[in-house]
Amino acid sequence: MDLNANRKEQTLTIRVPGDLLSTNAEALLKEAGGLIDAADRTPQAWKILKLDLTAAKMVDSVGLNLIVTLLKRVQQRGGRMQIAYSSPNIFRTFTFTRLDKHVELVKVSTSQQPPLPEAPNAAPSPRRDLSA
Amino acid sequence: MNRWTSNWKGKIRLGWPPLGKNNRTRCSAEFRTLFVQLHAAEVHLERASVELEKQFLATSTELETLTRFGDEFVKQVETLVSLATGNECSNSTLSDAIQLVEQSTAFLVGCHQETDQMLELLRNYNAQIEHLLKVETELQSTMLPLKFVQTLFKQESAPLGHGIQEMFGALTHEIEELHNQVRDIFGTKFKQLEQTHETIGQVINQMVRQAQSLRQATAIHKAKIEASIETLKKEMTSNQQRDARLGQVSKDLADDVGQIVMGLQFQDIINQKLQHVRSALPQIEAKFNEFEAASDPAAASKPLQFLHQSCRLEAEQLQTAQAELAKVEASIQSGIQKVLGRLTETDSQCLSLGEFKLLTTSFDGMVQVLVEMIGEVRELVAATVASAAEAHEMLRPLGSLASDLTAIVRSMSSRIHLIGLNAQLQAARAAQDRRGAGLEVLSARTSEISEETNRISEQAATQLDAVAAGLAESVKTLGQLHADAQAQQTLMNEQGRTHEQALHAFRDNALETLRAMGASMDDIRTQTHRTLESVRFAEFHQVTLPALRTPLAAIAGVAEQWLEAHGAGTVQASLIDGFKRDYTMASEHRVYEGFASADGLSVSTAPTAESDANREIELFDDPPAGAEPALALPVGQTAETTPTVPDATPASASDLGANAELF
Repeated sequence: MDLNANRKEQTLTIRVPGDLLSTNAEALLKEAGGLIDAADRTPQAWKILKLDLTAAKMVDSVGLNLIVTLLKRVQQRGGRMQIAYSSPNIFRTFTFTRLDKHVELVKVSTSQQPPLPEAPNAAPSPRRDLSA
Repeated sequence: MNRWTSNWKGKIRLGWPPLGKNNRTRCSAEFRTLFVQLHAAEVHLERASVELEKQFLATSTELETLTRFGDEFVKQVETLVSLATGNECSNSTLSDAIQLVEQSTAFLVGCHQETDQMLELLRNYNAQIEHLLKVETELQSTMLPLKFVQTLFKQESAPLGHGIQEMFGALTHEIEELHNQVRDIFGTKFKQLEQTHETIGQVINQMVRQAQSLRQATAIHKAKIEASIETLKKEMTSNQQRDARLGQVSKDLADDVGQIVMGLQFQDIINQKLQHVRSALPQIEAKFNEFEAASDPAAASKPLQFLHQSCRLEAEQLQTAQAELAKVEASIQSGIQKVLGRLTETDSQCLSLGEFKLLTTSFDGMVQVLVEMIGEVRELVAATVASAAEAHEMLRPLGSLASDLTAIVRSMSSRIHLIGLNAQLQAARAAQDRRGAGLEVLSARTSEISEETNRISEQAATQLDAVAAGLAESVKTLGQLHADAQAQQTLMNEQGRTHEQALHAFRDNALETLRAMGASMDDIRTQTHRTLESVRFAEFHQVTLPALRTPLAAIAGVAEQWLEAHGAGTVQASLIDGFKRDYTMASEHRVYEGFASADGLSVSTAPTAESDANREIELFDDPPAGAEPALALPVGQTAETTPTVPDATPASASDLGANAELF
């Protein structure tokens, strides 16, 4: 899970590397919670939490629970949440569960997605930050 | 009067304009060319008809697949809506989870009540201990005169004998030791009692704080679940309209498909119409041969009149068939698009289900509420366990301390009592010596002080006994509360996890159905495209039918020219109704009647027995006013096998091609 903080826009971006499922949601929640706690200790407050789910094709019930938990945390500190997605299935899931009424859904076409991680010996390519 | 001369049999008729052999020959040649075209078109028609049948069949097959996808989709919609709107609320997944939460909440409320009772007792005990701490002052002030008594005993006994001095010396020594003992008790043991008092105060504060927090959380939690259950129950009662809507979706879809199926049955209709046209062609050709064989213009005009009328009639029938087929093609295509549109609309509605305020599967729905509540209750129970454990640990040593203190105070009390008795005894002995009057007084006073001190000590001991017993009972109660909370915690951990998994599985079922619906819609879109691609009747109605109609119209034109040129009328007095006998379709009859009335011919409107039989096998009749529209025939059923419905109003009978409202 990647975390990126953009101080100018007061945003915190958390990039999820794949699907949000019961097999990884609890671990991701702990990690995300830790990342947010660390961000909270820095002087600049963040107001927008961007969750990058462009690599995800599926979110199950436990994954949904993770998102709701993060959303409540964001709302408690008066912030708002954005979710970037590319899979139509993700959009359908969030619309059906009415999350779209409380988070901003941002569709990202696959061409805009950051490149896949390079092979270990290759030189790292610049990663696009959706929050930039 | 025109005069016509024909010489193809070498005869010349006077009174007609002389045209000569060449005109007849040219006319025949034109006819022959057109008949060749007609034959070629007929051959092509036969092949094209087979192809058309295949295309209809292909469309039917693709439609069947599309319908199957549509039916699967509707089932998925029903499942999804049923799950999301709580139709499954009565099932164990939700109700068991609710039961666990309610039971745990009731446990927490019970804990609060026990905690309140415990707090009241502890406050009571603490008050008693506070009172006990004042005993020191009371005892000190009661025993203070004993110090003076000690000195006075020494003074009064000094002039008396050595024996008496020794007696009172021992007494004063006991009094001294008593003072030391009291100092010890209040210096150490009662200090511990002070600490006990302080500890109990801390326990009380802590319990009050935790109880307040737990009580608030439990109250909020209880209100939340009661509100959620209440709202869900209300939603369920209003969900009955959902069933009607879902039923309407299925019905509407069935109607849409039914319309397309009716369109597909047009293949039989057009086959029949073309068969009728083709059955007329030999007769038409026979009339041409008759024309060629005719010896004079009068003999030739009759077959030409037949040719003129019959070819125009058949051309018009073909024109109608052409238009109907084009209409059917458009209707089928639009019907297919309508099916797609309806399913897409249903899918879109399912994504929002906007008419329902609360969905079990939404981010704030019953599943999420219950999952969160199980977590919250788990934390509350854990907090209760910790609180009970802490209080128990803090209070547990105090019970024995109080008991110890009681024993010490009782032993002090005994000692004081003995000192009193001893003082009385010494006083009695001193009284035997006339000089011991002062000692007697002192002894009496000592006895009084010791009685009073004894009383105070006994009282303190009794109170300490009660506090010790109370504290022991409280410790026991706290221990039990701790054990109960631990048991509840174990239950929450085991069953709570199970119910959480079941709730997530419930929601996952809905999400999986949603994903399947998305996949179904993709299949439906693809299949719609395939089905539309299979609807290729254009060549038949734009090429094949015109190829047959054109020569017929041309033959009629040539015949008309010839008849006009030779002064013969184009209209025959009696209508050639031989073809009419073959008509089975209402539109064929209408074309015939329209054609006949345009030509001013007499038309027999009285249905013959034969025409009645033919009319009885009409595919589609106009329903009586107010009746339901005609339903689609089951696949495989044709006009001949359709149960007969006598037509009371033949003029209004219509076949598929003329039923504009169907399209």
